[in-house]
Amino acid sequence: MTTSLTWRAPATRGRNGRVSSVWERFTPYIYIAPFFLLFLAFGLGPLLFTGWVSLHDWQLLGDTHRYVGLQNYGEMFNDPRFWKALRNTLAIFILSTVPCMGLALGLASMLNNRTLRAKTFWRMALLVPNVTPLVTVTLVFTSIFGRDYGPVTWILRSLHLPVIDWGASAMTTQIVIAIMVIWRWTGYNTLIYLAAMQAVPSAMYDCAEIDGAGRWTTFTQVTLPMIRPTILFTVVTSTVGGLQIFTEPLLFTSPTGGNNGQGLTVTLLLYGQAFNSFKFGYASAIAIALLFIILVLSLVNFAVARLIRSS
Amino acid sequence: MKVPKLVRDPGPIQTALDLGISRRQAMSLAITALGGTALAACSPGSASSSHVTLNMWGFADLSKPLVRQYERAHPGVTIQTKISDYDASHQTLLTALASGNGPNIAQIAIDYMGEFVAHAPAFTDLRKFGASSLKSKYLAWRWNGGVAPDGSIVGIPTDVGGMAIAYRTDLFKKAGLPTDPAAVGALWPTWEDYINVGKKYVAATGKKFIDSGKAVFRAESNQGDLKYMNAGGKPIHDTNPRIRKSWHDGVAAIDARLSANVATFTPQWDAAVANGTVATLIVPAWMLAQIEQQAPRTKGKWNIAVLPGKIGNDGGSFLAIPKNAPHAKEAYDFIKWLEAPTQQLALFKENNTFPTIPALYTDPAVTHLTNPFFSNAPVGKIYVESVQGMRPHPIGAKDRIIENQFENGLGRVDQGSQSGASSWTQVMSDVKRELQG
Repeated sequence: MTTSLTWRAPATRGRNGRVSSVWERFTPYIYIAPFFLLFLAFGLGPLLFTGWVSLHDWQLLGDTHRYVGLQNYGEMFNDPRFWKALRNTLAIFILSTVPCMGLALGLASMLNNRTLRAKTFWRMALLVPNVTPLVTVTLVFTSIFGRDYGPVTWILRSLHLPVIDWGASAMTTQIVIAIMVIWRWTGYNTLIYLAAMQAVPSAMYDCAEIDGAGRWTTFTQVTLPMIRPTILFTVVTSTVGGLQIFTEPLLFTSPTGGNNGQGLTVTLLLYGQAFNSFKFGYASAIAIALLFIILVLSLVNFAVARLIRSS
Repeated sequence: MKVPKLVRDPGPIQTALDLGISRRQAMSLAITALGGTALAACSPGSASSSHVTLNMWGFADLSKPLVRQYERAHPGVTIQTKISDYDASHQTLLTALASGNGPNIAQIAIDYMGEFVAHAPAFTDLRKFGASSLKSKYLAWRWNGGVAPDGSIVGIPTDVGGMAIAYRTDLFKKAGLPTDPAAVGALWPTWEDYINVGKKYVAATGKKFIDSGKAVFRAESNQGDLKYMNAGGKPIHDTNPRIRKSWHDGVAAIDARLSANVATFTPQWDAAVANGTVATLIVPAWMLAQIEQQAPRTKGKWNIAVLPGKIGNDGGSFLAIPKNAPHAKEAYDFIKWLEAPTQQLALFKENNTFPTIPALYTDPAVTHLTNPFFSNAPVGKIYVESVQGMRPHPIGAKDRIIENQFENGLGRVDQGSQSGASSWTQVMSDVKRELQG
């Protein structure tokens, strides 16, 4: 939307005369059409269809799809698994995002050091976890946190500490999943912060130095306020990604999120209801609920961002 | 709706899945080998009318020598297989059927068969090709598992999972237990006896006796003539005394500290089997191949004895032809050939998949078959006996989902996060929720 608005302003002023103005008025829409056509086919279309399915008792193979109105939504609000999945998802989100952001900020300010050698190597190395296939990462971490033979168990044993069955309780399961997320996304966020930090004018640091600010004060009083919009951007992307966490809990626990749903996330519940229990109507209702949850949280992020910018 | 990529598009990710958390497929090595052909096998049929390519989707690989033999005898036919993870292969099939893009031949496990049979119109009724005449050759109760209520024949049975107990002779000897299969089998006519032997073993060695409590539940609950549904299709999971008894025995085994708490088809299970963490395993015929592969160095340390209660069945699958799949006749001819006595015998020898044709149960080639990996145990005789007295139970469309709840419940007890009683209460409410809608 913003694209077409900012473009149209100069055109209506008649920069190039009347003949081309009609053409110019429509070309931008043609340019952006491929995206919107694809979005319609693979984004909005399925989204609306999911909404339609969620109002039915939907058998994938049968021809009859019984209309049940909002019954699936009613079932969802009364389903303790939904609330458990929501709690788990938020817990994993917080357990992973907060340390991930902190680590990324720390690493970025270290990399921002002008005297650092082999800069490209460090930056490339940071991105490696992010380009490693997710399934591989999950399987490796599952072995690392294996109850009987994992390296973590080996360390605990050699320190004469009690061995932990990481997959058994909700807390430990969520910690392991959060560690996988942190491993995967810290480097990515570091590079984004680093880019933002390098855009901070060096004059600001010079002033801070003249004023006698130490490293910590410089970081909190100069760097952080200057890269605040970038931090908000990463918070938004982490929110959207974090609420859809799926592969890690699926492979670390099971399609039901473990024996007691200790690793059950909203997306995993959605998947299990669709492809394990074959309740497509109910799964669609969960998908729509997830859409609204993400929408609300994104609006909150947006509001916070505006508040900060205006202050 | 978000459809996870790994379900729709079994590619490298799926292969990695197979490698990491392989479930129930007997031949995981073949899976990696065939992972590459998976992508090529996506479009059914072939451009040339004289040449027919049959795509088969499943979770256990076909025998390569048998496929080659068939292709040599039928020069116009090529058979391509796409092998995926156990659950994923059924989910892929389901979504493919819904979009009308199924394979020519689909392998469906007995656990999932109830759900697919409930949607019989999605498959070719094999009566069209005269499958009714095959019925008398197969185990009646297993054949009926592939027949829809309206009488249409959805699938031809490939194998049954006859049951037995595999035990480590070396570990039994150390614990002062007998090692001869007949003597060992005589130790446990009932499940209580089995658990009592386990208690002795654990007391003598301090090690574990079985892989999980749910293994006991699974084997014992399959021995009755009723399981989760009565003949009228009404759920009886909460009242069936056999379910309660099986649950009780599963919990008793856990409470007596017999269980190593390793779930089948996980890396932990593989490690436990390879390292001698458990002294016995409750083994369907097809699981023997899994042990041979995952624990090659335990060769000669195992033997096989009869299951408590003697009879049993776990697993086995069907071959079906999706509706509208091209070359249905050619697909049927191949299935008919593959599941004929000679080929079923070859599959038993090669892959330990136990035949569904009773005529083979008296064939000396079966009854005298021994397995060198398991100290030349008479696997033929033991598995024949385990399926012969088998009393089939009615299977409902939701049996698999109900079983999931019970297995999760015993998993919670095994992990020590719940007592047997409170876990049972939760299982009841979980099943009730799953049965709604």
